[in-house]
Amino acid sequence: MRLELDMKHTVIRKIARGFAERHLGPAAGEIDRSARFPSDLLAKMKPLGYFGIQIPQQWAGAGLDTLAYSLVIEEFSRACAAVGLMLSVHNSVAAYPIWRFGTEAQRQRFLRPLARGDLVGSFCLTEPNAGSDASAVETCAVLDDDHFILNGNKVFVTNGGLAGIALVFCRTRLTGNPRELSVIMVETDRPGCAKGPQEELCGMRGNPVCSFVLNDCRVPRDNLLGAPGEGLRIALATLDAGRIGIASQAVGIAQACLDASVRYANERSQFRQSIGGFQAVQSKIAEMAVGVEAARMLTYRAAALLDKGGRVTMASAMAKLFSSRVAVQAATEAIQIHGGYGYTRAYPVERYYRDAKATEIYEGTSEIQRLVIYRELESGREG
Amino acid sequence: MKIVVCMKQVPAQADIRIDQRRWTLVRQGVPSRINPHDLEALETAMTLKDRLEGEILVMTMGPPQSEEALREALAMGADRAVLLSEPCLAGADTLATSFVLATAIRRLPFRPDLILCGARSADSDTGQVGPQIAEELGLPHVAYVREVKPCGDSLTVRRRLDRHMETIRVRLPALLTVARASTQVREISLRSLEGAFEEGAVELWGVAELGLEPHLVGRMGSATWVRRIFQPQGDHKTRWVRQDPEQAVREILRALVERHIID
Repeated sequence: MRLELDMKHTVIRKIARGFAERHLGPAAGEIDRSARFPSDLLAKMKPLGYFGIQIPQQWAGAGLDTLAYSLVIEEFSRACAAVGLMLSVHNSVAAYPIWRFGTEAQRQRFLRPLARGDLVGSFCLTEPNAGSDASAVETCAVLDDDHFILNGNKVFVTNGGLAGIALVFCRTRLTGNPRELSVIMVETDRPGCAKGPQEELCGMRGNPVCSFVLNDCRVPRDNLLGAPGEGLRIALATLDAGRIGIASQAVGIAQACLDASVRYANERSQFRQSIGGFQAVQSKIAEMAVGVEAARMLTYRAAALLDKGGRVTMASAMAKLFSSRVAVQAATEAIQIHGGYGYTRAYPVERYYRDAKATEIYEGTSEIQRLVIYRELESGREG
Repeated sequence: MKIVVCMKQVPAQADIRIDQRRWTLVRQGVPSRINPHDLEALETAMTLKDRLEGEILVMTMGPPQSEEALREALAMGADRAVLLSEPCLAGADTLATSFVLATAIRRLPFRPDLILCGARSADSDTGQVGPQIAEELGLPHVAYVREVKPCGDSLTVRRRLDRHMETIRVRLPALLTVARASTQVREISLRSLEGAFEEGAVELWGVAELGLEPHLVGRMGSATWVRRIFQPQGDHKTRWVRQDPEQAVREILRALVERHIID
């Protein structure tokens, strides 16, 4: 078993790290303060293949694997988690399912512009009354000749403000199954599709998260992704991959906490020595480093497993559960090491804390991850 | 325009380690990067290719892991890559290095119009290899170039010397070493990775391909050997001479003569 990156992935990490350090890191503070996603950053990223990491080159993607995707998201999130989140969601729960479940015609219409970054994608599952319980979705799509008519409310749509296309999970009546769920791709500029104002978030503030209101929104029947009633299967498969992205974000944030803590421990002097000279600070940093490395290993393993075509439900749930906890703990300790300054906006660690917390919540809360892990264990399936 | 860019992989960290037996850099297990000036040389080549079309071949002599630098260069837009690697090539001084690189350039199936090198390497910092390749090949060369403009069958290049800019016209084929180029190194697209990592994208040459004997290359082919590397024990003491100018000059002269700095 090889536990280190091969040459190709080492280069991918280097490329992503270089871009993130040059373009994201310097902008991250302002992106957080202004809660605005800078469009010039989007323009810089577009020609570099970041919007279609796993999409084959014939569909304008980079043709790389899940491990490459994980490395990019980690490096971007290390510099600016809000941008890491944008890219993670766009790649894993918008572009990836269209590639995996879409028809050739749908790939032509949607995947190509998504992979080029001409369109930003989003994933609309959560509703006011349906979050962890995905089966409680109320948004419905009624077939009217060759169109669906959609009605319902979607909330906390990551990338919402930027999104040109949304994968909408909704109830349909195509197969006679009363609990039938399907996924319909909705171009967000269609009449009847309205975006709410940007949410005031605690962290990840640069991401334009908003709600979508679908009011008699007419969408061609051809926009149905996958087979009728396949919604839950698509959602679960997509989330298995998506959670690797969230785990990668968490690893990136945790690494940023570690970087900041080591730097500050060397800089800050008290009692006529750098605070890194004190064992209390040293052990905090050592614990942090162990957590980051363990989280990274779980995340890479889940990514590599997906690339080998294995079932990753348990591996990705474990990676997300563990990495998000490590990120929150690392951020807490990073603030503690920075003391009073860590509690101010003069240092980035308070931002890391606010950003890290989100990773324990979206794409399945930590509680749901434990549920997923237990169910996999109970069913006797190998992770 | 056919361009050869010579590159070197250097340690990514500032705290480099020295092998205490061979007095060479420890490269095993150390994260590495393309020497920054070599990246600028590659960017200069790419800019020329954007304007004139042509082909860029990147070349490096180094341990097997130097392949990484070449793959990265391919991802950046180089068309071909040659890795000169064999244990007997190791331990080369700048003369043996430039001899091997020049030999490799001579054995290419085409005659390059332009050879570009970084002006200096971030690790050993001699600045000698580029000009030595040019001498070995009998080509005109200009060192420390910042800007390159094509101009018929020659190039107009600009370089900064201490306090002034120098503009030089150089006839092709020629060799330039690049430092602090005015163009920014481009970002690499993830889309170019698939091609850069295709099997066979990097050609591996050893002494057999170079048509050389092992005793002409590497440590054995070097004219110089490093006997020891040490941190100089500097004794920098500033002595202020605060007298009227005439007396001060006399005092300074006396001190210099006393230390045998001047006679």
